Amino acid sequence: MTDAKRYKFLERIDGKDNSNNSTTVWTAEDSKSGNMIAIKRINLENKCIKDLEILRNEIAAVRSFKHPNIICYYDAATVGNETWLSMPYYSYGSSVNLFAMDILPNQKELLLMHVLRSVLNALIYLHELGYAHRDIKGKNILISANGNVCLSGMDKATKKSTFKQDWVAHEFIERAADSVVWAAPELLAQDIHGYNCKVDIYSLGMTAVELAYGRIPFDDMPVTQILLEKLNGISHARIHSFIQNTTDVVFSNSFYQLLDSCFKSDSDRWSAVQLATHPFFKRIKITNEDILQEFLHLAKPISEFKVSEGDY
Amino acid sequence: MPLFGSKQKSPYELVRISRDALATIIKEGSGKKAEKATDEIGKQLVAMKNILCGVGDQEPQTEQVAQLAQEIYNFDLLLFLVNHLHRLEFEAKKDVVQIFNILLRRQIGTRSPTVEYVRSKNEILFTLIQGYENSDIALNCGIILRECVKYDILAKFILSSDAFYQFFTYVELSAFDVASDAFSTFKDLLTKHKTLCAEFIEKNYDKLFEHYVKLLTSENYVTKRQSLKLLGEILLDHHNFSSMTKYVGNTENLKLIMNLLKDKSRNIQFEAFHVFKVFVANPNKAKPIIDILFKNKEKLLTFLPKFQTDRTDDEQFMDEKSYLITEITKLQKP
Repeated sequence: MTDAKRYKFLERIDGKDNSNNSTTVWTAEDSKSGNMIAIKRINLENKCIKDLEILRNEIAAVRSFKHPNIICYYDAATVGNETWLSMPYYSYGSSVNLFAMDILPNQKELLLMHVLRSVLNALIYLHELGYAHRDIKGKNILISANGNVCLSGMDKATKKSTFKQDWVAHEFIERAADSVVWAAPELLAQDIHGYNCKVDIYSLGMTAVELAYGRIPFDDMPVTQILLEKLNGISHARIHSFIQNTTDVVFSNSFYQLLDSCFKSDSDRWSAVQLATHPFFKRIKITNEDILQEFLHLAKPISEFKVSEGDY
Repeated sequence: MPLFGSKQKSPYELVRISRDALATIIKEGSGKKAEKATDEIGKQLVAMKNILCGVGDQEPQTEQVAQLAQEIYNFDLLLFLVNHLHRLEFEAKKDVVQIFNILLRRQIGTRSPTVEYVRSKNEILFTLIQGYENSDIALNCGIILRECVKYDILAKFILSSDAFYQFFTYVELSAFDVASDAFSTFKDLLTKHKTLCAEFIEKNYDKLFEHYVKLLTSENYVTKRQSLKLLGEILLDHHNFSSMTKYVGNTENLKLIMNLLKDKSRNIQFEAFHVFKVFVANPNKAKPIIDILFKNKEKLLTFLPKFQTDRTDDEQFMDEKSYLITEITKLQKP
């Protein structure tokens, strides 16, 4: 069966209404398996040859991972001038959607524990393989119907060493503007000290802030200013005062300690393995996905966010 | 480390156990025994990887590495692992890739013993190439193949075998990841070792371009675009001067490229431009080529000034375009 006929597209779920988007995400029915899946349709005509190379590397990387908290791709098919990447359907969308709902503060902390711990599992796996994800943020953390938390957005991942975690990289990520908020200062610095996989831990800390408070300490600042603050080392003070001044939600002390461990300068920053032993996570009593199940009935699956037909 | 007994296995034991386990997997196919053997081989591969890479901060020990390599050659383990790669577990497949590639890079003085070994067991290369037909192992095989192709004797061997022509099928597969991986290996084969590649292209010109034209007219968008770009690169590489001269002297080629200039995809038009310019810039154009260009002179002079005018930030393209317009304007009735 040709891939074009195999999938029945149901609904566009990337939430953008611009009809010229080169990448769209759809729910679809896979007639071969009968399953509901998600398909990312990438228009290659809007991509340069270098982008095709990046896409190839991303798919190859994802294909080399097998972990319950890391996204998998079923298939990457060329259809016309598009590539259709088929993957499991994460019906609750990204963690940003999930945390946008009305939840009680103590429940929110439980939810944070679960989500962050799952991402940490994924990071332990990736770092062990010599990969740095380099783009950890709320948007790249997906939630499935049964509450599974899954890390996606692998296009900026880089592999530095197959065997050792003590590598140092220097190259800057291309097309990183929309990730500057989450990026570790040493990743942005591009100096001779370089960076290593601990950049992901910094970003995890920023993601924790993003999800916990529903916004980021730099929300209305221009990208260049954020960049400068990070390079000048004053971003820490900003994050600190943001947390101090946001008094409408209060978390336990161990949450703030966790953030501290993530935002330390890279030599003192905790590794993924160390962070997994942090007291913040000690309080997870049920380690399975039941935690999330309790909240999911409150949340809306994204397929309910109807996009009217006129939009695309 | 386990508490009791089981001191580290010697390289000989690791390799022998792996071979025995593989034999069991092949014999049993599936079932309990095969599963157990699959587990077993997975463990041995991890142990071998640890010897080759060192564990934690420990550097690999030269003597152990040498012993292991020797046993692997003696038992033909690489050959067996590659032949039965599809039977191994997910992580074990990746370990095979790592072990293979580390061994390939191993040097004794100026010798690369693993490269010599692979060359002597050419079945390995054929099996790896065929790996592109099985999506479960295609990318694993691709990583090993690209490492092999870095060595000119292995690249030369593949180029001189019929197996090379299988790539023309693989790069057209509809699986984007597999086809792109195959294309990347294909490109390395045709460009990595300049003198070797130039010689190959020149000697096999007819057969090669007979196949290549299928890529340029492929239904597969990615194949068409990438192969057109690669064609431009090959023609503009001065090592390939004589093949380039031959290519741009052929009217069929010119017609094909002129048609691609009008392709519905802007990117394909753009890549076609970079091939078309070689025809026009050639100072010693053959008469039939001049005939065609002259016959289309007016059309081209209307077409080119309007061609992708929004690429103003690409100065080289703008310069080349105006150069082509000047050259075509100068064309006289032959």
